[in-house]
Amino acid sequence: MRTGGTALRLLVVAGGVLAYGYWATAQAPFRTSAYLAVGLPVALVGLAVLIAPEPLARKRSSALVSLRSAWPWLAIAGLMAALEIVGLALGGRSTTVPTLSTVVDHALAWHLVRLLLFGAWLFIGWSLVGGHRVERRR
Amino acid sequence: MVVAVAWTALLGAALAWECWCRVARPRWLGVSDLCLTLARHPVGRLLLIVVWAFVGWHLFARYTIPA
Repeated sequence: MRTGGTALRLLVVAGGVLAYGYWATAQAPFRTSAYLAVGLPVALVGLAVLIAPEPLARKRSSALVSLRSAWPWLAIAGLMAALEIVGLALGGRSTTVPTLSTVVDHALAWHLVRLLLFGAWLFIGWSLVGGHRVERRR
Repeated sequence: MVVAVAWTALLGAALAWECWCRVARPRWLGVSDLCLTLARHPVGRLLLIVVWAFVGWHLFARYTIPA
């Protein structure tokens, strides 16, 4: 009975998120409605962190962070930063060296891609307030 | 075109690396580990939320579909 209730609640939440995501990603860019559609989850996450900052603080990773343990990510991030800087130095809309935004803009032409990315973005925001429990043991 | 492919490869590598870190748990860290470490500090948590909000606005409110 309890499992059924949880499943129903999950279904309702998923449906609500999907409907909101569909509406939010259907808004024309640079319009007030588009800013509001993104601003609402940002406000909710900000509020959640202000009200209950504990859940995320408790989910501490026991992994030790050092340059040696983080170098693969730092290498990827460094390459991305270098490409972005070159792209921005060339004006930001260069066809030979496009910025990440310019490359992503091509994919954002499809509503489904925007919806999927919006879902991933919401998931990351939910993780920031402690909704997604991640515990690493080493 | 070459740089667009490079961007796609870098994004793919980042995603693949993160997935591998979560599944195989190697001695190297994934981005989620780095974020969790950053989130221990209130300023780090605020920084993560600001970056997340910026990405959201940039991607979903300020995109320009190429002609």
